[in-house]
Amino acid sequence: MNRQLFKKLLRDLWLRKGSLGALAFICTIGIAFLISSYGVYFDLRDSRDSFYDTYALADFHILVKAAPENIVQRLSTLPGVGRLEGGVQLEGRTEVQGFADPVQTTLVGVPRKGKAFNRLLPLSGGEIQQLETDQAYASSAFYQEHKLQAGDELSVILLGQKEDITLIGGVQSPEWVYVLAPGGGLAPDPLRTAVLFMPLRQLQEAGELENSYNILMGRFSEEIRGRKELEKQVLDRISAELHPYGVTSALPRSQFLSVQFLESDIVGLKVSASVMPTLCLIIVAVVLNVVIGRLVAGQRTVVGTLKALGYPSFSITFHYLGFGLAVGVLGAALGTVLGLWLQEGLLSIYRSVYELPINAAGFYPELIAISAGLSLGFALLGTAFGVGSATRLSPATAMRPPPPEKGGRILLERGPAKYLWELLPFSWKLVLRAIFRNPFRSLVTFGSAFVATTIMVESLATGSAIGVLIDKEFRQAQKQDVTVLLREARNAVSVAREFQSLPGVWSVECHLNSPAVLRGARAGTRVQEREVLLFGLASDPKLENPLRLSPWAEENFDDSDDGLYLSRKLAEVLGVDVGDRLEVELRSGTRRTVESRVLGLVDTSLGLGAYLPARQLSLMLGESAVTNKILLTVDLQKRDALVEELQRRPEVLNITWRSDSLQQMETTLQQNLGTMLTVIVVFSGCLAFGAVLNTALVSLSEREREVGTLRVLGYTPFSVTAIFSGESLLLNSLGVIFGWGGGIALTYFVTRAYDTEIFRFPFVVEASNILYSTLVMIVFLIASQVVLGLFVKNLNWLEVLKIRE
Amino acid sequence: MGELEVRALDQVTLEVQRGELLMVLGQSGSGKSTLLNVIGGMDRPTSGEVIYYPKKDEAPPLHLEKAKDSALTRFRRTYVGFVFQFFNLIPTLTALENVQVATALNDRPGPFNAKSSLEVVGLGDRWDHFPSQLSGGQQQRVAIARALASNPDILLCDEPTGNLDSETGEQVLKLLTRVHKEYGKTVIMITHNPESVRIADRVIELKDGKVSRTLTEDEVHQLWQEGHH
Repeated sequence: MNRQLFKKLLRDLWLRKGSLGALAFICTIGIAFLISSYGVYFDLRDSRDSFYDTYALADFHILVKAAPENIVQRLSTLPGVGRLEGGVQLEGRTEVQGFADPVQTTLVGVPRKGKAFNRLLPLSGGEIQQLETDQAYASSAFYQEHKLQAGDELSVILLGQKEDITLIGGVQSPEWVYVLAPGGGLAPDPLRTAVLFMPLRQLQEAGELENSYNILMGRFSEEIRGRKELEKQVLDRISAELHPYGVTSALPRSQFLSVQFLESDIVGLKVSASVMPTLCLIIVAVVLNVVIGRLVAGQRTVVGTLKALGYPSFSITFHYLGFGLAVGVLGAALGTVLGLWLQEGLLSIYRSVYELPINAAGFYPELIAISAGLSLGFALLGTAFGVGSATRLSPATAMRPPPPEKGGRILLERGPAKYLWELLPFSWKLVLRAIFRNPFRSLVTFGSAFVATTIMVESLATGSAIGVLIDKEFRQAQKQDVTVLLREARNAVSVAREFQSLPGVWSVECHLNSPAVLRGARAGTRVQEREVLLFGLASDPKLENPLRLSPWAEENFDDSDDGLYLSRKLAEVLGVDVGDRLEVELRSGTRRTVESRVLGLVDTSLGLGAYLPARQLSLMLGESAVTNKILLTVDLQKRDALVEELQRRPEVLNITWRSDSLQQMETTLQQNLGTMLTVIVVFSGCLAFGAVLNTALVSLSEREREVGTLRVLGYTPFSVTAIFSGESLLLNSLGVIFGWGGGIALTYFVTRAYDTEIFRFPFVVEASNILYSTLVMIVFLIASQVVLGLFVKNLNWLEVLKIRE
Repeated sequence: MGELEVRALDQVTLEVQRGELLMVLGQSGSGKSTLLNVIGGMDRPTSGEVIYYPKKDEAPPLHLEKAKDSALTRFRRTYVGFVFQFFNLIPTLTALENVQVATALNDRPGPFNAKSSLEVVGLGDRWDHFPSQLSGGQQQRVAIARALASNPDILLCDEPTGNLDSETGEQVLKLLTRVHKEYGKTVIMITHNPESVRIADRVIELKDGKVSRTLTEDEVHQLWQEGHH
């Protein structure tokens, strides 16, 4: 491009800064959305991978009652085992000065020489210090939430013994990235849940595990690592060797709770990152295409002149590509800045949920290149299209203004519809003709409203779905005020009597939880297995009863049932259906393996549950009516007295208040989900705003003469704008209405994509989701029409009319 | 329904000598502009021949009717300067830059550069004005400067005074005469302004796409007289 043409380009860009700015805006929105969504996804994924790798997250954990220390050496020689380490993990409670509730605490032993697996990363940086007796590191969220400091003292209650310990600092561990209290709901509650890392020897003594371990952590040998089948065989082999020592759980890494939660979030992010921003960017690209195409087509006479002067078509095209290039480059630059800012903001939400060292927002040049490339590509395509139509003409033709638009009748004016057509006011005839004569542009306007509405409905519906999930799982299925877990199962009758007499207790219900491995034994299919918790329900469960979520199951549940009700997801994972046989390997009590069958399916949203009468479970365990999970309804006025009484009992493992969990979940969700939804709604709205404004401006530029004529006839800018708004209004209304359907469909798709073993979103679209999306769209549409009105008002219509035909 | 065939030019035979100033008269729709476009390589005839003979030894004769787009582009760039009724200046470039748009393409040595061609048309002091800051006559003079600056052999003028008041039109005509006489350029000019015919070496009239006649000296004089009064 020679200097003169370059100057022309710069001045043309400056002259059209308004409409090019509107284009760059929409480009910015699309790119920022893409960069922030994918950026967060990459950041979270990479932070996790590097943390797991550097701090050596174990490939598997096996929990046992107690196994002698020397077994580690023996098992390490098994084929497929890379390295093995023993440890101790105990459940206890911590008292924090100035905080009334007990803090449910997992105590993790740290050997003198340091941990080989699940190593600790101190918050303060640097190396982990060797722990002396009565010294501890605390999990980071608990440490920060309670504003603890090195040197602070805490009291730990373990098996009824109280010990005072001194804190060394806060740490993060790859094993404890997402810390949930047992039965504590969905969201971490760092005020009431903690992990303390203490000297291994001290915990062995306190837990009556001298020279023994109760957890084995290990890594598979390099040859079999990543080969699921072989890994499973090795894990089964180690479990079998450990059988005499009471295996309660043997999980591969993929089934660790923290890993599952983080993984499901990362998968979810990937889904939302790939769907929504991609849709946005497509809209942006198409709008760019339309607008730039029109802009260049409007320069037809100049193109003709340049050709007459002897410029070849390619150098004219190259000159006009500058328009697309400028918009693309500006959009990419601004989008990148906005995207990175937003990415950092979203990451801070994840930092508050996961105890994970999340890197600062990463800069991904390939991401920017792809998004800039896409918007540039489409902008250039639009330019090429617009300029192409002018350069294809002979210079003589190009220099003449384009022939007047063909005035043929549109579809609505023919056939029987013409009688209706006659009734329309002229303004609507203008609108409808404009829509039908520019089908592609009309489609783009419609498409942007459709996509924006679809995204908004889906996002809001996801928010509602989480609300419904919490409501189902923690209000419908549970009615108790307090859940008390016992360390060991005890006789249900005496426990009930005992708890009934505690201060403020209104009613008591005794349930029984027990770990087990379920195996699908359906004929002709491969056996699938899962480690689950069997939920033994009281004979007439009034308080907690997940079967309530499926009325059929609730009605049919009977104390004498000999079989299991499975959550639908568990049945799916095991490949079984109602009536199929199951193998149940008990992981406590008799540790027998028994046969059972599927009595019914329950639509739960959390975890993989298997339900049966507590009485049956007791029998399977070789006991008669025992309990280890007591549900209470209580007089909340007497909460403190009850807590004090419960804390005094060494057999009490954990106390959870349903209202606390609910409040914690709802606060967390409101903060985190609320922020994300706001971002998405604002983005979608801006997208719609930009797209509508741009296409309306194109329409305006094509019809400047009409505007001039109407103004000559005495129309005010407002009434002219109203006529032009008709086109936007009609197309956008259709887009919004179809967007409702799109939103419902996308919600269904996303719900399917989020279907994991730890949670399933119910498929919910509430009327309020649709109403709210529509309102937001209306607001942004009005905003775009106001801007359009300003353009109409400032249009030099006299000049427009003076231009020759 | 079939499309109606309109012949913009029909059976036209025309020979123009180097250094001639040919004036083409005709009513609106008679095919004048099409003739100019065909001569200038901006359009191709559907049949017939258009041959351009460059100066001796410069290049072989060029058959414009058969030439590829790229050859036509080269032809326009090298041999032709256009002056349009509506000036066709690029509104976002200054007078000088508008002229440079043409000179930037052409390496054919000539008597002017962009600046001096503006001086020739009397706009040496307005070189940094944008078209919107110039009068119609001044804009047309910039267009003539642009056409001159690339040192073409032929100047094709499509009603160069058609959009100007008579006084300004007169100035433009004088300028074109000067260009023709002093620099020996071949000028083909379309007009329906009878007053301008006096500067022509030859005047032809087009009617319904045909050359209806060549005006005699007397006729030209008479026409001029009529126009003048």
